[in-house]
Amino acid sequence: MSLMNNAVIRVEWYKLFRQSRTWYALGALLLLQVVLLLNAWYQGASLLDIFLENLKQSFHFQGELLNGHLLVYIVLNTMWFHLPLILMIVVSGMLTSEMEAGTLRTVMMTGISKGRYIRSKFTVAILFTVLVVILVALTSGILSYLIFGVGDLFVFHGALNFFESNDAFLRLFLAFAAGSFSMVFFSVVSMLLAVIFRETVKTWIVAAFFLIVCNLLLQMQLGEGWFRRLFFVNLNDTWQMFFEYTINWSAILWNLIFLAGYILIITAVGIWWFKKTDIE
Amino acid sequence: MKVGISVIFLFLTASSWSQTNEALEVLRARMESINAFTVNVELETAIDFIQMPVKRASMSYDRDQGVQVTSDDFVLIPKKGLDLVMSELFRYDYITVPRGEEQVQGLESMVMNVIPEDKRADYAIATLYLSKQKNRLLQADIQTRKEGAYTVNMFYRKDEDILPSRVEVSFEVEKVKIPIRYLAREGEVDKEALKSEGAKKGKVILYLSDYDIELIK
Repeated sequence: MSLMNNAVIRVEWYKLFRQSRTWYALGALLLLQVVLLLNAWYQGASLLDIFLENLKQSFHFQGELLNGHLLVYIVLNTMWFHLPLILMIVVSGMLTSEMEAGTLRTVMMTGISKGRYIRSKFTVAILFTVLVVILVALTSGILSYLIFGVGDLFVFHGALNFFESNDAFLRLFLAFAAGSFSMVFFSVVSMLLAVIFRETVKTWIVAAFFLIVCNLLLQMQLGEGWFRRLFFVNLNDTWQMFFEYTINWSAILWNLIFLAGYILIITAVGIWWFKKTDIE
Repeated sequence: MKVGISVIFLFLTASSWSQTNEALEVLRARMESINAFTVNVELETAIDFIQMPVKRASMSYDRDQGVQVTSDDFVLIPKKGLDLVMSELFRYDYITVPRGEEQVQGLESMVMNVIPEDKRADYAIATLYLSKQKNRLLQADIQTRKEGAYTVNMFYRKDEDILPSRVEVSFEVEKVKIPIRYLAREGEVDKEALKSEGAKKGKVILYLSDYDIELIK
């Protein structure tokens, strides 16, 4: 059974990387980071001047703030929209393209169960998402640190927080790790939408709409008390909590546990929905 | 009778002025005996909208080159308050006005205004608090001509120490502007609060250790 599962998952990986859209997506992400880095290089000095203008009246600065850590932090901010959007396109396409091409019926005729098939889709979607987050972290890190070097990181999170280089590196690493939960959340949502809507373009539109609404609701910081705490939209910015001056470890852990819970529920609903639906 | 009172008043005033001037001249002579020094500094920033770890730096003073701070870290170096030998204060001629006595750091202190006679001086007026027993500077409230006011408090480890082991520089600092797009999420920034709060009181604490002082022979 395990061998069978592994074989199905291997096939899914193969199919995923045979699709040109997967490589276009990865290329787009890499290009996006290069554009961001060029933008930061071009605008960085004047951006810092604006930011620190008032402080310059009272202080001399020693050291370079436009460094690799700040650049990685800026790249990390793109996870709010660009990365989940690209992931949702690729992940939902894993299923809808097979449904539209009619290959799903052929696959089902090989004797593989619907449950095993959709479970492998979700598994590969989750692993692919984590892989992409690692890739983004590595490429943004390598490019940023090679071009801009290291130094203190400063961010605004309630106050103007300065982190020493080693501390900044650890926080950025942990933020990517926490951010991967959010990305996985959006990926499994897109897979669920693919299960429900079955058509590529329709699924992309609904997925993009879901992402936009999530971002808007996140900006609004809806709700109070337990609702605000448990509302999945608000959990998606957990990675930002690593940039509070004193890290609230227990709040982060609970947020990630809740987010993992949402991921499990959505995956379970996706599997259930696929199993109960007839293959056309 | 009136003439008598006036004479006594004038005598007391002259005596107070003389004491104040004498104390300041002792301080000046001691500060001017320092040709150069180097010292290790730990900088602690106490400003409510800035969170920063304690930073390490090296500070050096040379009679010709003034104060210089170097560090491998990113450091916010206050523009004012690092002149531990008070060279700016004594650069040009000045007049002193005695302002009585006050307790500072639990010590009886002479209070005086120092007013420069030369317009090239950086400061418009300084209020100094000099320890009567130790004859050294405990506090200086300095009003600059162009860069606002600041207060320096100096703490000494031992009685014989010529320079302080801890210096607290307090000043007004403007709130920062936030380029939200890059460094913060819009939802978490209270823009109205940022606009309305204006200037805030800030303090930088310098812990100074391992002095290497070169005195004029």
